[in-house]
Amino acid sequence: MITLIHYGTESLVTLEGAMARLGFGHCRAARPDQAAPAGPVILAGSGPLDPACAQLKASGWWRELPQLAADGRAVLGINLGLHLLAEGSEESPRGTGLGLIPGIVRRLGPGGKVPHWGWSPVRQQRDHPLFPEIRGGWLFFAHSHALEPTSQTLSIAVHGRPFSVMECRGRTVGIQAHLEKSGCFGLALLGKTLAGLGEQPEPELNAGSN
Amino acid sequence: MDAKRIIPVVRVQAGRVAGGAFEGRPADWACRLEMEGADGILFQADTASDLDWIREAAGSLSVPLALEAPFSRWAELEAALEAGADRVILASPAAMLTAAAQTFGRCRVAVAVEAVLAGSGWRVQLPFEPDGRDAMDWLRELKQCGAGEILLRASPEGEAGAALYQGAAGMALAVLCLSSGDEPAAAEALLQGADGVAFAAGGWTPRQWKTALGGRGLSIRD
Repeated sequence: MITLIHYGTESLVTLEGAMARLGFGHCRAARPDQAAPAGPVILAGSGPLDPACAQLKASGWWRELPQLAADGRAVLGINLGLHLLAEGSEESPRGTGLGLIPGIVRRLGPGGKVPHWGWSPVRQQRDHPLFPEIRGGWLFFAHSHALEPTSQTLSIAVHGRPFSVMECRGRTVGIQAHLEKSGCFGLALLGKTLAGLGEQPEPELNAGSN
Repeated sequence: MDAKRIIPVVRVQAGRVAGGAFEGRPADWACRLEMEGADGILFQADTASDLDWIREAAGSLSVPLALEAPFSRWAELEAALEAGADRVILASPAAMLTAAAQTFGRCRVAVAVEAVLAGSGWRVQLPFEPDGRDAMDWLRELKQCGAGEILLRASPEGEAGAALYQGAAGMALAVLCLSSGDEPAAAEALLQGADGVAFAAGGWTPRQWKTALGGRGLSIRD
């Protein structure tokens, strides 16, 4: 069972629709004690960083997520969720991130319009035994900041400069793209990523759109 | 390079798709347009309240969804975004723009602008400004106030209108060209820097737009 962290005004409607089409059981959890007993925990998000940090701290998730990761639980950050998993961000220079993924999130640019709202081709930079190859697909992005790629980055895209699309450290994964809004390609990638984290679709839930 | 976005516009009245043979549930039409290659859906609604249909559409789609509606209250913006709209589009003069961009992020807030060529310059009609405003000045101000993108209708379209999109691109402002359906004019706007084209659903399919625009050398998502 997948746990979707629910905080602030973040809408989970599209992500929940994607889960349903892929056949993954899921639940919303505003607090850690509402999480499923096992399975990946997804931290999705968009919008400003500081309010998200404050909401996660107030609900107890900020303290809980590093413990879950240390216990081997899979954690997936999407868009702002990736930024929160990183060590810090230029968006909030005085704050610190959860530190589950190395690196500082930087503002995009120069050379591309900011915010970056659109479809970009994604290129695989490094293979990983658990996750699918990305070959020639387009993903949807909506962000003003991103992690700079390193030799550990699994895949990248370019908007003015190269930025990280997918990071993985142990069972903690961060993805900059909105896979749930990236058409059939993104939906398939989301399903394969969750499968790589050990989650399997439930046949009776699978709507068969993938 | 980013793909030029191909965005069908669906008009919604009282929670139902409005317009000719194009009737029914918004979610059904949006899914059909996604299957036909749309890079996103733009709903133009007659009201900013009673948005259950947005929730249904957002839960059914795998492409981003924007909502243009007569937003007049803060609670309406929150409700639209919570229901699953990825972006809200405010009408000029966009009184809530600055606060919305700070609260929800620039990505999630755009502004609709209609510019008219008057003499040698482009003007935007705004309340309380009988002479209108220079369009480029207005676009610059909207960007400073936090607009993540402009939904821009230029009248006339074509070669004259393309200069407006070129000017917006020159200030690194993202612009979606609101097209009357004139493909050559839309192509000119895209070639001059517009980031996508929005057009009334019901004519050419998104796939037909993509075939035509791709043939002009523009970057298009397959």
